[in-house]
Amino acid sequence: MKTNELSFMVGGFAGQGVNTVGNAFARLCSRVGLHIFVNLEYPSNIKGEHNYAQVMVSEEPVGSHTRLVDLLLALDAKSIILHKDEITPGGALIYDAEGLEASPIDIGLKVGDIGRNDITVVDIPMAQIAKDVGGTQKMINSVGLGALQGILQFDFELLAGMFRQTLSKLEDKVVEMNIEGARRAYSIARERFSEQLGIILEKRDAPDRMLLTGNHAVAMGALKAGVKFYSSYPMSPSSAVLTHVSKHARNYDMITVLPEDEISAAGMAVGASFAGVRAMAGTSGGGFCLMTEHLGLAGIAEIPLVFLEGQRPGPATGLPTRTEQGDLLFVLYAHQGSFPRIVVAPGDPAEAFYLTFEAFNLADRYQTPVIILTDKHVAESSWTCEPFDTRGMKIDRGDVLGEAELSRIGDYKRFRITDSGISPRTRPGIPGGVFKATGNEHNEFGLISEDADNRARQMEKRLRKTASLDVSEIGVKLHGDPNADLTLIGWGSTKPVILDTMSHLKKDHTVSCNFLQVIYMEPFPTDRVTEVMENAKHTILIENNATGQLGTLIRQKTGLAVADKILKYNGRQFFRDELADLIQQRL
Amino acid sequence: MNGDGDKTRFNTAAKPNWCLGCGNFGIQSALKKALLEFDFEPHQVVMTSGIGCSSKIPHWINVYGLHGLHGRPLPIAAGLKLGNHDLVVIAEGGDGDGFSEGMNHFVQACRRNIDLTYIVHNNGVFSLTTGQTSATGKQGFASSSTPDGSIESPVNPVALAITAGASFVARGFSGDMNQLRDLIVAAIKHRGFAFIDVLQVCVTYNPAKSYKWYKDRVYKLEDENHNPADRDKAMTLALSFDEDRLATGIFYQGGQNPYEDSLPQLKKGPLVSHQVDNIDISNLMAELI
Repeated sequence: MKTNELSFMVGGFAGQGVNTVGNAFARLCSRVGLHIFVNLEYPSNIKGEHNYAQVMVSEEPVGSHTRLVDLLLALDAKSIILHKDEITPGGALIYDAEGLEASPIDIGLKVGDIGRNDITVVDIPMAQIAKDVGGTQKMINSVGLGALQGILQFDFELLAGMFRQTLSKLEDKVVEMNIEGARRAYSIARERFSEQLGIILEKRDAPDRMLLTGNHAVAMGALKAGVKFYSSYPMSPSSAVLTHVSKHARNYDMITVLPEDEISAAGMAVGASFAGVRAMAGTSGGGFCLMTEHLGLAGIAEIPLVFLEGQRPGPATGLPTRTEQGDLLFVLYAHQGSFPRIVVAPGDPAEAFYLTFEAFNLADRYQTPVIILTDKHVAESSWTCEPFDTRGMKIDRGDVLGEAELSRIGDYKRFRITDSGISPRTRPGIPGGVFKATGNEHNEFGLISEDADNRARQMEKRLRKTASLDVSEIGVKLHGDPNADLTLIGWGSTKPVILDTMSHLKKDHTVSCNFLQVIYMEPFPTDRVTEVMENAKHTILIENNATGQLGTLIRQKTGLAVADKILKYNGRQFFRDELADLIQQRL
Repeated sequence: MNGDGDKTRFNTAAKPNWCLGCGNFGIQSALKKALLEFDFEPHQVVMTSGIGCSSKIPHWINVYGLHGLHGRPLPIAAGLKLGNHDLVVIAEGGDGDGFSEGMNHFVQACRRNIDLTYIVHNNGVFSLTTGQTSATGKQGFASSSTPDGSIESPVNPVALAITAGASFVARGFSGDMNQLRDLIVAAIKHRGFAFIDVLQVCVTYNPAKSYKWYKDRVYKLEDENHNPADRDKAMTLALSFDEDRLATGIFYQGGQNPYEDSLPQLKKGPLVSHQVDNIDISNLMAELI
């Protein structure tokens, strides 16, 4: 008998509510004090294609998923065909033998012989139950959740309570219908099958935790930072940031715009920032291709600007709804010429929140673009997380001049050559500050200048700006025992799965590992990475791309090569046990 | 300080480097004269521009300026206006900038109706890149890019703007500074997106269309009692564009509400004046528990 340790999958076709079931189950488990990780896999399609969500439940923090699941709730035949072999021996399949709904594109698909004698097959007449209580096919989600809670011997009243809360906009009788449908499935599953599965879920006393995606965290970080303008053209996996921010725009006195294209999204953000407000433009790699024009304009015209680039597998449309860390070198070098930029790569929602907030301070302080680099995995997966500690989070708008200072200065030079490279800025509307900014090379006043010496001085001034940004502490983190036998090296969304794999390997006494997580990709924490690499006994690069882009960057910055690499580039994140196996194969 | 009567307040020490006789001088003078019709001080006005000869104009008018990227003055102007709607925002650029590279932004700006003034210096050629045919170049026009004459039919900016939903559409001429000044004044006063297509002489790359050539052909809509509220008539006039008779003046002016009016967020003053310290996000976190 296992308690509060579960890998669960729900599968169905797009439009059937797979994510609704996955998220509802995850939210319920989170609210009873358990730790959760949710991985969503879905195609770029609205109705018909196969979707599934995997929910990991644990009493300990959990950040990754496993290849095998204890429990599969199949809402259609295809889910059984595709995933039956992913059910762990002793696990269970919940389905409705009579009432399985066919996807519009898989009509006629038959389950056939499941061929698994080592699992419990839980046949619940979900469609019939939905009908019996007066509901429609859409209610199968609720009935399925009931069956799930029953087989896990979970307190039914907790599920009923959640229905009453989350469905509160519906009529009472519809809510009660959902509850009744769930209760009937619950009873059958609990009475007939729960002993065979042998996994139970129980409430635990724990502090309140959020269940959130990286996109939620980016949106909250930006709102906390006082973002007044967010422009974004929809593109997976960043579209939800526009949704989240737009939902709260009026309450937070800010504006969101969905303009004609990503060029305009970035251009509008440049304009808003030039006006003096905090601005952000959000997209994915394909949209960032279009934004790069304004990236460079912000660089040479020294306009603070925050970009969100949520990666997905490219090139071109690639795999629109899957995950990859393939844009690292692109964002580091995008746009022609040289200018300072800052690139940060959060590995989980908490980092996404704090780094997004910090990105606005950095942009203002260094008057240059800052790119937040996420990917589908960190943007759209969900994790439980303690509420963010916002005490001590301070807004820093950098060196800004008001009317009084400008009148003292007299002849204001917006692009004055300074030791730090940072020239105090002002904004339109402030008397005494009238200046020009331009994408052309310019003199200290901002007027076009093609003078050779001026060009060199302005270039050096701009490149000097980020030299004072010391990333040796904040730009990199060594997780685990500094003297471990093996050093894993990665960045961004592989952080949770690498950390889980490390503790998994430690429990098995297989190998002692530590994990070097690079957080600031530019400026690069060269000294610290060099130090860790030189002290490491063995190094393995772990990346979700085909070429090992962080490895290239490390080689470029430190002159050191990572000894070995594990790369996955099929559009999916590493499974915890898959990564453990791959590491062990290399020892 | 307002309206102190200093008629030189929009002058700059720096001097334009346009060709002698360039139509841009007339447009620059008309713009400065238009600004002097108001109480504005230089710091209350901001210009955005694209890339090209005409787009250098912010350097030579004493206001805040962002001389940005080819084809992109309008997105930047939109962001600026929304960030601080107390500013007078004027976007400028050439026909290559606005109707070749920047066409999408132009059409969208018309329908979005943010309170901006957009002045296009329209001479039918890419001048700063030495005279290739632009999107407003006449069919058959021979240039370095179309030595055998342009095959494409040209954009009709006025008709396009009306179709796209612009709330103020006018045409001026770089050789009639007083009329152009009045058009710019009307455009700045207009609440919403105001577009002025300016017939501009390029003495270097399109010399056939000289000042005389234009003067022989332009006429004023107001002299023919055109009612700018009549959108259908404005459209007919715009579509009847032919080079023998060039209409100038306000084609269309409507009363559509500007974009900003639908944003209650702006009622508490320009976004730039809002405090951003210690923003409370506890409700956002509570939603996720």
